[in-house]
Amino acid sequence: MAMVITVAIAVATELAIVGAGPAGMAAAEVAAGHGVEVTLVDEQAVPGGQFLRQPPPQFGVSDWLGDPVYREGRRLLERVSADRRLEWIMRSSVAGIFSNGDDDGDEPFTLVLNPVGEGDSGEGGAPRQLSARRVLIASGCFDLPVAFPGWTLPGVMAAGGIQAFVKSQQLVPGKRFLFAGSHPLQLVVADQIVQAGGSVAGVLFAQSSSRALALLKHPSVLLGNADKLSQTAGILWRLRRAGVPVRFRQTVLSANGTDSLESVTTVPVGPDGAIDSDAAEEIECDRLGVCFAFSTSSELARQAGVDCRWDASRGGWIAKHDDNMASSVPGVFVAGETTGVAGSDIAALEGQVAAIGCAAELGKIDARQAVELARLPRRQLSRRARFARLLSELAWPGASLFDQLMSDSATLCKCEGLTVGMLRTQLGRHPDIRTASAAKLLSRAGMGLCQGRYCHFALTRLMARQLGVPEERVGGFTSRFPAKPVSIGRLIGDDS
Amino acid sequence: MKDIDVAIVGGGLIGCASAYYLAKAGARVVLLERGQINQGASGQNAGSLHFQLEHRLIQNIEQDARELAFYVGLAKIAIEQWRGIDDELGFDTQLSMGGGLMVAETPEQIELLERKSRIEQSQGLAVELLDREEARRKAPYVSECVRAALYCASEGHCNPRLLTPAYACKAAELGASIVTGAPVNAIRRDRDGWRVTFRNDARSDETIRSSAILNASGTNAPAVAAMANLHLPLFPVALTMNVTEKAAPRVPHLVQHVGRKLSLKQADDGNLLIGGGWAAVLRQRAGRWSDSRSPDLKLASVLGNLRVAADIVPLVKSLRLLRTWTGTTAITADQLPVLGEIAEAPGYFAAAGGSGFTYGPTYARLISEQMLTGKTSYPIEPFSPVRFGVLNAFVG
Ligand SMILES: Cc1cc2nc3c(=O)[nH]c(=O)nc-3n(C[C@H](O)[C@H](O)[C@H](O)COP(=O)(O)OP(=O)(O)OC[C@H]3O[C@@H](n4cnc5c(N)ncnc54)[C@H](O)[C@@H]3O)c2cc1C
Ligand SMILES: Cc1cc2nc3c(=O)[nH]c(=O)nc-3n(C[C@H](O)[C@H](O)[C@H](O)COP(=O)(O)OP(=O)(O)OC[C@H]3O[C@@H](n4cnc5c(N)ncnc54)[C@H](O)[C@@H]3O)c2cc1C
Repeated sequence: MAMVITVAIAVATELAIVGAGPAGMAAAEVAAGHGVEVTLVDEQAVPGGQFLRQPPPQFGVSDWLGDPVYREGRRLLERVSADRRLEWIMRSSVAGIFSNGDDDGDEPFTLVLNPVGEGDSGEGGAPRQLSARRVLIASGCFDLPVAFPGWTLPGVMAAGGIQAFVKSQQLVPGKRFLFAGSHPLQLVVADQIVQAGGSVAGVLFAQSSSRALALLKHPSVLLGNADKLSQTAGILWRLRRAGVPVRFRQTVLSANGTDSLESVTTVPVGPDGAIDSDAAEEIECDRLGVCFAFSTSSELARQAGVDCRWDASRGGWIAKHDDNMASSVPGVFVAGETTGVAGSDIAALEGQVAAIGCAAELGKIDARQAVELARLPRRQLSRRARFARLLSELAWPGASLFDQLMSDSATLCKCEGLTVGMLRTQLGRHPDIRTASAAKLLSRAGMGLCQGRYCHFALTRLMARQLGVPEERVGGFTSRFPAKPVSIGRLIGDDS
Repeated sequence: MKDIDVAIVGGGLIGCASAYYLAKAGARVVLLERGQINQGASGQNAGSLHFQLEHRLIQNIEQDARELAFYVGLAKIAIEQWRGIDDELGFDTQLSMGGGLMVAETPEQIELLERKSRIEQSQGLAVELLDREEARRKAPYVSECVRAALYCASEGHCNPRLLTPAYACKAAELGASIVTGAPVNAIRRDRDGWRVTFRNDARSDETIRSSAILNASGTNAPAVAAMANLHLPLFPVALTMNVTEKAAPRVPHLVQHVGRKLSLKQADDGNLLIGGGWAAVLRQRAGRWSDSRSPDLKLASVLGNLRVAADIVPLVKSLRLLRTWTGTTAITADQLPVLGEIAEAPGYFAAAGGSGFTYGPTYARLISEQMLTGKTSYPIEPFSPVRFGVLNAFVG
């Protein structure tokens, strides 16, 4: 159903939207409605983003995302998919956003696109360049990688990754699942596993039951669809009926196994947040879903020069913006999780506001119309955003928990094979190293294929703690072109 | 009585290596770095050890022959120094001196190789002109386009991530005090020395008194000179670097081009580093260039640089580009380094410019000798700031 269009090497558009999740789709619909020429770019084969992850066309999944919680999102997806005004470039990752200098020509931005799935059928061709007058970055988030001994063992997964399987293919990858974290998403995924016929050994929340239940009363805010307040009760009931224990003040200490996951060591978390390793228990399972929080995909925004600030419970580096969702870089807008993790409803509302801002800048509507049009989504946003922020804090287990899990034997940087202990030793030897970038230069942490996506949080925490400074002072890794690795042959148009 | 003998401004390669050589000779040294050690050009460069005359130096080979001959002489003592560097520092800096090729694709380029090889050989630098077959035998990874190459057996590369911190550690072991997060913001003459003021950790100003100052602040050297009412005509240039994913070891040499901008090598970690002097865009603030953020990347530079690399070393095309970055380095109008005392300001020394990774250890050693004894083991007069003559004749 998604339209994969084949285009020439370079194309132009008025508004380029990076990311076809709820934020990007909502923005596209509104912008097109005001006569803006829109091109959506996404690295997935089909639109929908994380929330509405669709099955690949070859899987004829019958009751795809049947739950009413997804209804609104599915309608949006159906509308934009059928919208003939929109251009789509799917299976293309945006490797960089370049500003074409001071000449305020017609298209001040060039996006370098890189087809994903290199090597297969040739649907890609050479990376294309897309020039645009305005850019909206709505690149979403991913599960926060948490470092503890054994977290890189096959079988240890992000709860979101497990969910992606269930959502897109309805396959249950594994025999016996355990979930550990602090985010309500893990309950949703556990429930989906049970419904798909899988076996779940338990769901562990690091928080106290009162904190977690306060959060679970309003799961819909963090998980989309505000009208579905009865959802949690249903989930908890189904889990109880399936005999799945939901425990509080418990968390993972280590994942154990030789070649793959065989068991998980769990520990109680005291009222002061300290873990008690003496009271460790071992639970047998072959899949561990980890679900503490999400991390924004901020590399593209930062590469484009967008100012960000640090907010650990809302995704790490989050883009600053004004009331119109305009970023610090003139012409570049931001929406959705890029501005802080807050769920799909808020992402969609931000997308609408950003689209109105773009339409105004492009002269499609005048300033008064823009204010008028943005009034409703802004009002809904401010109400929900405040609430979402509160809930994010309830879902956040606190940095000290991560500090305790990060023992010396835990892997820190998978790509370069560095452990927490190795980093600590190097930092101890160079007390003058005080920023993440300097530590990276010294140790190679963050220099591998993932470019720090999976280790930046752990490294930032480790340094902040060791130096006794806030994360903001440690700073992020500098984000550079390309946002993800690109084939050089393709980049220069010569893959002979 | 001064607090210390030497205050060094700047914690790049030149500053840290100078701190080491000075401390080793027993001097009391404080090094002040505004940010982190190795955060400037010294940690961002390509790590090439170029001992044969580089592309940028031979654009006017006829006029510059005399200066170039002198520069080649410096290469010879740098080679000796590099051979002992790991032993001296007691550290594996991932130094590789497996040879370097400068390739040519056209008859004109071959002629240029011949001409420059005559200057190099006249100074006793061992270089060897290889024809197409010899070049391909030595370096089977180069393409058919390569028609000749000038080979210098001492060339190679070293890891810029490791060298400067290693010098800093060793200097500290010998008693030098290395202070980071300490921007120098004022320099005043004292009766028989200098007062250097910097911002300390507690965000207040602190002043130390020293007999001498070494300005090793890289692209910021003109500003640090201006603090003492002096002129230092160095200019910032912004450059681009590319790095590929890791690959099996294939390229044991430093590869350069005589007529196109290219430097290429394979680091110990397996990644290919590709640069060669492609421009980036210096940032502006209030109508002046600003070094508060790294320069903007130019897409055309990335594509251009990768094109040359792929033409000469085709295996590049099968790799993925992992990352690019930009950095800023300082050059003079005559492309030679600045090394020496400013005659009008006794006790104020400067060391900056010109392929400062390859020659940084040597600049540092020579300037330390001059500061300690007034003499150097290799003549540095041609690099002295005295050549800017009249500029500092009006200092107040
Ligand atoms: C694994 C996971 C599971 C989740 N499950 C739920 C859930 O069940 N319910 C819920 O309410 N919320 C869930 N969330 C949160 C949910 O992602 C957000 O609330 C919502 O999807 C945010 O919308 P968005 O448009 O900001 O980002 P997303 O929906 O993440 O969309 C971003 C899109 O951008 C694309 N993209 C990113 N970078 C690039 C690039 N460089 N080039 C091209 N395309 C790019 C991605 O492919 C993606 O399609 C989940 C999040 C994750 C990470
Ligand atoms: C992309 C690139 C590639 C290069 N490739 C090569 C190569 O392959 N081979 C080669 O030989 N050379 C190369 N160079 C050049 C080489 O990197 C430089 O010449 C050399 O590193 C200069 O060292 P430095 O110590 O003078 O300066 P820097 O390393 O820049 O150090 C200066 C330091 O001074 C500090 N400072 C500035 N102002 C103040 C102040 N007021 N107070 C306190 N501290 C201050 C700065 O923070 C900085 O850390 C390259 C340069 C670049 C940018």
